[in-house]
Amino acid sequence: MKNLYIFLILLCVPNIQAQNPPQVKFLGMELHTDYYREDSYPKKLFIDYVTSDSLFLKFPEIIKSFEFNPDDGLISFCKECDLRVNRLKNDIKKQDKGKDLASFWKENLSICYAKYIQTSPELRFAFELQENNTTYHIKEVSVYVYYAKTALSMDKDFFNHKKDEREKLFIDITKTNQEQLIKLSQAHAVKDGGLALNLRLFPSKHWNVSFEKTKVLLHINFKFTNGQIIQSTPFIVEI
Amino acid sequence: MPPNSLNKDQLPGFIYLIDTILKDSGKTEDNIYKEIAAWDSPNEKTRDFQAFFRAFKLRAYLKQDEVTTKKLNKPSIITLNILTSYYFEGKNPVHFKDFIEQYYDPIQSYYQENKPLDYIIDTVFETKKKESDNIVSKQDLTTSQTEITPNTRLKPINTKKKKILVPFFIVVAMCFFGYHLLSKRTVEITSNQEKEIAVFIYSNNKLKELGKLTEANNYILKTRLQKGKLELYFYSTQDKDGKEYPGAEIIEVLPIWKPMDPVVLSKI
Repeated sequence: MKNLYIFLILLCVPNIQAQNPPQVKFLGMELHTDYYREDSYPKKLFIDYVTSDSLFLKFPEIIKSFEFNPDDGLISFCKECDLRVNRLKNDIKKQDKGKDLASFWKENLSICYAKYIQTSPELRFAFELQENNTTYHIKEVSVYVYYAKTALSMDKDFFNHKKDEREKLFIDITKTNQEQLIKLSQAHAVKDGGLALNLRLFPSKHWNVSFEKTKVLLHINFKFTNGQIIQSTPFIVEI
Repeated sequence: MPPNSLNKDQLPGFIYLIDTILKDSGKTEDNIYKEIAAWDSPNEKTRDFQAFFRAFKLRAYLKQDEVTTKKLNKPSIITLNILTSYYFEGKNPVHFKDFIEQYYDPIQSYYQENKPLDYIIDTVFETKKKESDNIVSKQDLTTSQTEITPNTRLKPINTKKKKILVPFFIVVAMCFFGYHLLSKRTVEITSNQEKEIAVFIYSNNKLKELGKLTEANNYILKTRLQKGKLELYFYSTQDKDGKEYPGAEIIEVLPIWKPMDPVVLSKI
């Protein structure tokens, strides 16, 4: 009889879980930036880049890729900025070492910095609330980088990105095959109308004054206050 | 006129003296001057017979009716004084000037009969006078010019200047205004996003606000911009701190005669 109870309890546990379906539903993601285009690749291309077989099994058949697609105007803009940076690098050698370099760069390159921010990929993640009587929040995300081709000039840190109300996701692309927890600058509520979370992805907390971008294969886990974790599908983004 | 040689007023006295010497001695011009040179004069200066020779030559020339190019020297007062002394054969010096005064009447009457031709006299005396006349006439001209210019010539120049300057300034002003008109043109700045965006022009590390794209202006900003390459900096003002998602654009403002599409700010 005792064994029967245990059996019944064991039977009910999955039923309880089934009776409480996840309250937040992931609707999808879309690109929210100019200068980018959406592409897609078959799953099998990434077999060498994903070390964990169990993770690779979860991959969808088609992987979305958000790729940097500069037009002629942007290319000439970037060239102009490169020229300016080279000139300033020469100037800075002549300057006192005690001078604040960050403010020096910002004074002279604010238009280039603005363009760099503008050309960083902004992704919109849409969520829907299943039950309308409660509100949940999202305060942090974790990013899992499968693979990133690290750019050569990655180590240089000329500009510090400022943390503020607008969500920027600084992903350490050197940390691969591990979860990196990133706190959002504010809590975003999922209400009855749902949530559209815009995240701008940056490869570092600094800007190395170059428009060089690198492809990153990753997925993002969204952690809600109800304990629910929603994992985005793996995707490629050029940051 | 140098005071130490024969002048025109003394010419009658000179003619009378020479002619009288020649008449009294009964000798010719060719040998009389040597005799005078040899004569022991009471005058202190030693004498060169050439001086007397020139004096007699001059008298001979004054009898001519033809102008010769030969250079003629007027005898000096010293020479004339010696000649006068020789005429009186006196031991005491006699001055030519006194002789003219004392013998004024016979000199004048003799001169009326033996007056040389005017143009001959002119060749002897007028050369220097002509030069001095020229100087005087030149001086007159220059003085007359300087006197004339302020009154008669400057006035028309002033009016002419005014006439030239006024249109000149008008042309300069029109060029300036025209350049100002042509160097700038109205540019429409718009965005694909329905966001309130503040637009700045970035030059010399400074931001100057051009205006805002708002719902009120239908997200179209019209502003006058200098032609050429310009750098725009913009951010959304709708968010609490919109400055951190800025955007930038390099645009080329075409000259006013070329059509130009509205500038569309890329998404921020």
